[in-house]
Amino acid sequence: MLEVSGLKINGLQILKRNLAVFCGVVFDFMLSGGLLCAQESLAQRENAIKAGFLVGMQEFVTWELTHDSEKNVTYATIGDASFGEIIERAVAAKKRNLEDFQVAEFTTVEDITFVNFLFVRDYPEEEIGELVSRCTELGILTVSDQEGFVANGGIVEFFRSNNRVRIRINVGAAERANIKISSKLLRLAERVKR
Amino acid sequence: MNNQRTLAAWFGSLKISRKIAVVAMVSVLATLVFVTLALLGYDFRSSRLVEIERIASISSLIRSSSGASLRFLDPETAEETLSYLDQITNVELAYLFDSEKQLFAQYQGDESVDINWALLDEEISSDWGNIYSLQSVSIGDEVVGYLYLQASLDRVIEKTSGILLFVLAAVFVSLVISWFVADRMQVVVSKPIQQLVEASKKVIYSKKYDIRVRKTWDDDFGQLVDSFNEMLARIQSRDQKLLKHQQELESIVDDRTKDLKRVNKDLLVAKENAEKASRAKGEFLAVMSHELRTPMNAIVGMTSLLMDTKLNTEQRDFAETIHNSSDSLLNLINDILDFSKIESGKLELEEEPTNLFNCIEESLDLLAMAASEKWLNLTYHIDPDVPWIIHGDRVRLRQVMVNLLSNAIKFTEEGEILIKLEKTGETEKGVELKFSVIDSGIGIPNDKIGILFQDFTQVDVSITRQFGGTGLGLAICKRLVETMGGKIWVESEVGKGSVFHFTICAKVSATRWEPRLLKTQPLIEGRKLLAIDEFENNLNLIESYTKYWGVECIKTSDLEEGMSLLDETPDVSFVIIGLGKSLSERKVIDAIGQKFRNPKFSKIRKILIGQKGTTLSIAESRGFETLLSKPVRPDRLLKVLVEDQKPTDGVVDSIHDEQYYQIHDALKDSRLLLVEDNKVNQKVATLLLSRLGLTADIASDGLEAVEILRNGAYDLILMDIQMPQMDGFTATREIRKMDHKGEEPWIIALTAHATSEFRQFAMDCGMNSFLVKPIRRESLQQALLRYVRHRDDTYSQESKAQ
Repeated sequence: MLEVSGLKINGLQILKRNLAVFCGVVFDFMLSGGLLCAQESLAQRENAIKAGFLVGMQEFVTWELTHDSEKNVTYATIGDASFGEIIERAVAAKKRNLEDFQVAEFTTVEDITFVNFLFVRDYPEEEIGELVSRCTELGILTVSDQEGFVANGGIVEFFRSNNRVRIRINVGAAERANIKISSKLLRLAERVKR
Repeated sequence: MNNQRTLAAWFGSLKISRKIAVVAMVSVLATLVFVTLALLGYDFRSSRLVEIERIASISSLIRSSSGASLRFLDPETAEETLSYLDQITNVELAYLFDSEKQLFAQYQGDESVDINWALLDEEISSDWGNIYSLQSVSIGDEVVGYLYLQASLDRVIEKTSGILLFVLAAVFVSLVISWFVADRMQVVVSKPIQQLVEASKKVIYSKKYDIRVRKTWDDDFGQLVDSFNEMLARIQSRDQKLLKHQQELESIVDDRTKDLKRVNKDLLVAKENAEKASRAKGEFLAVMSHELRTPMNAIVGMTSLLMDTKLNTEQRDFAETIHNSSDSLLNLINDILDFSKIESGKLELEEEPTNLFNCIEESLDLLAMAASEKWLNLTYHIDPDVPWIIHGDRVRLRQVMVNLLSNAIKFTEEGEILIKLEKTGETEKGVELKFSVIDSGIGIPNDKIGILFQDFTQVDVSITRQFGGTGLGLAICKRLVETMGGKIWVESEVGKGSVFHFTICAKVSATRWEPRLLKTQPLIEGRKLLAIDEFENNLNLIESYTKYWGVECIKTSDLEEGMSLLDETPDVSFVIIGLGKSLSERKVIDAIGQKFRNPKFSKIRKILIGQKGTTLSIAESRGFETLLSKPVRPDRLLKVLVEDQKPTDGVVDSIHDEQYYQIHDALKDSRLLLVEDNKVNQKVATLLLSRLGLTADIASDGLEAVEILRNGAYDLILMDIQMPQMDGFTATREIRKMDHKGEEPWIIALTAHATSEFRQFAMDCGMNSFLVKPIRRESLQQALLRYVRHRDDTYSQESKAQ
């Protein structure tokens, strides 16, 4: 039986939604007004969304090189190691067992071993080509919020559009890394083939 | 209920062919309606299930496609997915909620429809018009949102309606076909019946039984047709036989009718002749009787007067012989007159209040002397439930009783004669009373009883010689009793006696009658009375009355036993001794004379009951104080017991009875006028009045009477009818015209013919009553009593009114 008591949409809820939109506008105003505190909070929220997307993506992705399907999905970061913590919180939010779970942290291309997801941030643009080719070899799905990441051969890139976090997927890069991405996900994403 | 009756009446009135068609149609229609409803119900149900499954699968598809949109917070894609529902015709509404149950995306297919929250208790539910579905959207194990779908069942309803229309069309076609088939098929059943009906109608209206019905099949109807034809054949044959018989009979009847007509004609002539003769005879008898009675009246009256003068023994004997003979002759004439009246149908009965008690006593009184000559005990018994006053003809009733009593006395040598009166029935019209006259005479042989009541008949011709009589008495009695609504018959045994019974039907009178004789008498209540009489019936009669009065009656039939009873009960107040053949006066006086000299018995009142004509003579000197005559009348007995007075006259009741006192006391101060032209009749009437202690002025015709009345008032007028100068009718009219200061006089007509026409005429002239001549004491007393009662009634009414 579903819990239906909370499923109420009435005039009040519509008002709340409008209020949220209004708040969003106020928030944007405050952001452009240079309020540091507000900027930090916005960045945190955006990070949480991105981490949620990253964690949720595993259902739509199949790693053809990985034969051990029962093995837990693994994550790693490169460039900004602090995002690992955010990922851990997102996984915790999904009530996954944290004991078996860890987010690896790579610092150089050479360090990289197989993980399911590698989140790239603050990584030098000129070295991205090398990173990508290493990951393609290993069959790692690379994700980044750096602009031009997909253009440089990365598989998934988070970008902002209309104040929302959107996903851009390089279908060619995924094929090259022997990674299948569900059409359901592809339907939502902006697809490029490089 | 009413409709049902109307429907049943309509169906009942249909012809058989229509009935069969209707039955077929109704059966087909019922079947089709049932099948159609079942089919439609099943189809609707299954279509709805299919629709629910379809909605479930659509929901599943949408949910699968919407998971990513919910996960990656992309409502545009979700709405794009929901917009595919546009292609699915009956989905009206789709809402997508996130895991926090906030609206995420929505699709509104029909703007007018709103979400039905009330029906969201189940994952998929439906009502008659819609299907509702709310299911979770999951990615793996994780619920990321919810999908609500609402679809209308219009498609299903449309489909079912289509089927219904199609089926209705099919039903209509089926009905038409079944009507057509039933119409063709019913002929097989209804045609033979209709043929029978038509044939029956023809038979009824034409009354021809040669009609036959043609048989079509050899089934049940065929057999019915055979039976019908057979029945007609039999009726036809019977009719033919009847017709033949009827014709034969008619010819016989014709022949006989002719004979009868001839005989009837002869008979009619004979009858007319006989009637003429009979009428002539009756008229002759009536005239003759009347003519005979007038001189007889004079003879009887004058002989009575003669006997009141001083005569020596021889003269008295001659006078008595004349008196008795003329009396007999008068009776004979009366009988003949009665008979002729009855024969000519002129007898009419009075309807007046009649005291049965008095009537019986008067009858007995009239014959007491004749009975006493033979030492016969004459007594009576009346049942307590007999009404004392009835409406009837007292004179005629008494005539029957006197006739029977005189017969009984005539044919009885010793013993007693008893009249018994009892009530035998009661109807709305009145009561039936039975009188029985019981004697201990010679009796009547069985073979003679049949002719007893025939005219001019006596049991034996020799009887006429021995006992006399015309043989008319019983015939008259029979006619009288029959006229009074009763019958008369006799039971008899030779040597032992006869019982003559007769019944009458009479209305019970509403006249109030004070039963003084049936009340306790305080003056003598508690006293004791010793009665000695050789006849048990006399003792019983005395006891029956003393019981009412509160007097204890000790009775015995033996004189010696009576004497010893007297010794044993010293507190006896009265001793009554009835004289008889075996208890002769001499014997009684010898036996008890001595005893009554004893002062011990001096306070006892001693009463002797003798035969009519007995005087106290010797008995008086032996201590007897009162003499009553047989049969003992209770009023006289009571008077003797209650009133402590010794009669001055030796014969207590020979003249001065109760009626005497009643009339004398009432009329002694009244003024009486006798209007009579005949000197003899004047004498007779004044003498009879003087015997009642009354005197009357005399007018010798009507004119004189009118003159006298102009000068003075009279209370009572005795008015003769046929008089010179002015007749009684005219005189009465003149008198009624006068102005009477006091009370109008009471006028009694004196007439020799009391027919009903005469009576009516007399009443119309203003007369009050009438008296049939020759005037006798009893009839005069009755006429005067009637006046006294009328006057008393008027007084009591006047005093009441005041």
